[in-house]
Amino acid sequence: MSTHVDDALLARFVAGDLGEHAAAHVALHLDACPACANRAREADPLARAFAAVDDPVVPEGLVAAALAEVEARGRATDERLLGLGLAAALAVTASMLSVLSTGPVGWAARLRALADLVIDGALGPWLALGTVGLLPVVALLALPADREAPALALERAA
Amino acid sequence: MRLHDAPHDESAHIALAADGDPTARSWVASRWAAPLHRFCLRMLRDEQDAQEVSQEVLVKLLRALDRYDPQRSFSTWAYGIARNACIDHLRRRRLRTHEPSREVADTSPTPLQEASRAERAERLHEALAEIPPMYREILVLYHFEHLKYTEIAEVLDLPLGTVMNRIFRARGKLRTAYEGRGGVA
Ligand SMILES: [Zn+2]
Repeated sequence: MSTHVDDALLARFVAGDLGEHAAAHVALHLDACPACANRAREADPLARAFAAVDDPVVPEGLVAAALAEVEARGRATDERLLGLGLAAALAVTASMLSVLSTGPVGWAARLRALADLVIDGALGPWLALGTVGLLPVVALLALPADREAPALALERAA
Repeated sequence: MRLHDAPHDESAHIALAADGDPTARSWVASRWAAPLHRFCLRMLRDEQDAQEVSQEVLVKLLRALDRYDPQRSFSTWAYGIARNACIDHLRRRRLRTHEPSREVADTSPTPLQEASRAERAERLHEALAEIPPMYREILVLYHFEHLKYTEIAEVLDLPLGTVMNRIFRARGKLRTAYEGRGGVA
């Protein structure tokens, strides 16, 4: 840092007596210069009060409880996905079976009929149904587990 | 401990935890439990609420690790999650009750007398409780969590100039509240 913040400017900064451009300029210097950052902290009128505050003790079991909850929620999501996957697979199978069961008699003939339907593209609705069944699974996989968007209500709360 | 002086292997632990490694996950939770609980406690001013919300924050953080962008600072990302959770909690609490601006006993302190360390800490806590959350959070991040100004701007998602304006106003309000409680700055 070649040019440190001089005493007069630092005093105005600590007093909150600077416009936002000048304040941001000083702040950028303080972020990069530990010496000036310390001067600013020591000059703060409430420095002694802040220094008097001890850190709270972390509640016993907080980490274990959080880890257990993550584990449990992970399991629940897996089970939900498994359930939806099974449901989708059943829907597709049921569609196929219903085509097979309404076709000609005999498994070989029915399979041939199914193959013909696939070739003709007549199975489109059934495939669409299977896809619809799979949609919830895809959606669940794609959706974020937790909302991350910043809550912007603090200004209103203030 | 300053958070940006985080151990170098933190990013490795975060990456492993994002892939679901239980040991790394536990490492990240243990590393962040204290700062996040401390932040929540100072924002919410209630032990039970702070425990509940900091647990919720840890869970959110661990479950969202696969969406964390390693190009960003982990600490500002983590405090961002904690901040959102605290704001949500304060909003719910305000809806439930009419936010109890925490019964502060009138201790009628004697002005100008030299306060003990404990008294200074107590008055500062009371003064912090008295100012609006949007000012409290910025002071907590700077003075207790030792974030840089640019990091605070990132947590709050605001331009640096706006953050500086707000922190100046916050310090003014805090000082007024502190001196109003008989604290000699
Ligand atoms: Zn400097």
